[in-house]
Amino acid sequence: MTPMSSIAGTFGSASLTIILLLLAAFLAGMLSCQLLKLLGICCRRPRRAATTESVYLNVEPEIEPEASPQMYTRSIYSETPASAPKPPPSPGGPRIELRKPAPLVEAESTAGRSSFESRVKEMTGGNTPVAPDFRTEIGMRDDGQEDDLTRLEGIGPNTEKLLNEAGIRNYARLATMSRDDLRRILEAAGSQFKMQDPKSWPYQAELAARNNWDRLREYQEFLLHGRTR
Amino acid sequence: MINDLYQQVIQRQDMSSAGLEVIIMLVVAYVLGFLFCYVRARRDEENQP
Repeated sequence: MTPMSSIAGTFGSASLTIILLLLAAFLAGMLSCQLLKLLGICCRRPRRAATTESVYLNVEPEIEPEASPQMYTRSIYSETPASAPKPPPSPGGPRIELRKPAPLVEAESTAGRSSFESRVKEMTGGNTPVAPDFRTEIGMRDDGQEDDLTRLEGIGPNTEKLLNEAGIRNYARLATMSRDDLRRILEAAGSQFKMQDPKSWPYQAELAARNNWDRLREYQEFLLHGRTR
Repeated sequence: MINDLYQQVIQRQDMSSAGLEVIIMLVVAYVLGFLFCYVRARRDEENQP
C-alpha cells in the first residue's frame, strides 16, 4: 500500500478514504466468497456418498424389469401431462413397455373414487381384497438401511431430514408411500414444505431401489426439461 | 478492535508508519466480508427445501 502523508494535522481528514478502503476490502471478501461458491469450493454441504456400490460399478439390477411392467406403465403416465413428449427409450437398457393405463386406474381420481370403491365392494361382496406387499412383489427390501434421498429430484437436505423424521429412510420405503401421504407429511411440516410436489418421488424411489440409475437419470432429465415451463 | 485501530490511524500525523495497522484493518474487513457472505450462503443452503 502506498503510504499516505498529510501536511495539515492528523489523518482525520483522510477518514473517508480509509472508510472507503475498508468498504472495498469488505466487498472484496464477499466477492471472493461468491467466486469460491460459484466454483463449488465453499459454502456447499457435502453430499453423502451413495449407499450402493452399484452406482459406480454399473451392476445390473437384481430384479428383472419384466417382473412387474405395470409398475412402470402406471407410474410414468401418472406423472406426465398428456401433451408431454415421451422420453426416448434407453438403448440397451431394461426393456420397459410403456402402455396407457387401464381404464380402471382412472377411477383413482377423486371424483371417481367413491364409485370405484362401491364397484369393488359389489364385486367382492364387501370383502376388500388385501393388496400384496408391494415391496415383496417387485423385490425391494426395506432392510432398514439409510439411503441418500437427496439423489431424487425435488428432495433437498431439509426435505430429506423431514422424511427421515417421518420414518422414510430409504428408497424402498419411499417407493411404497402414496402421494397423499407424502403431501400430508409436507403440509404438516409447515409452509416451507407446502409448495413441494411429491408426486414423482415414489416412482423415482422405485427406480433407485431397483438400482436402475440410468432410467432414473432419464426420468429426472424429463422432469427437469421435459415439461412446459 | 477495528475501532481502536481506526482511531490510532486517524490520529497519526504521519501515515507512513501506520502501514501495519492499515493492513490489519483491511485484512479484518476482508475477513468480515468473507464471513458475512459465507454465513449467508450456509443459511440459504440450510433453508433450501
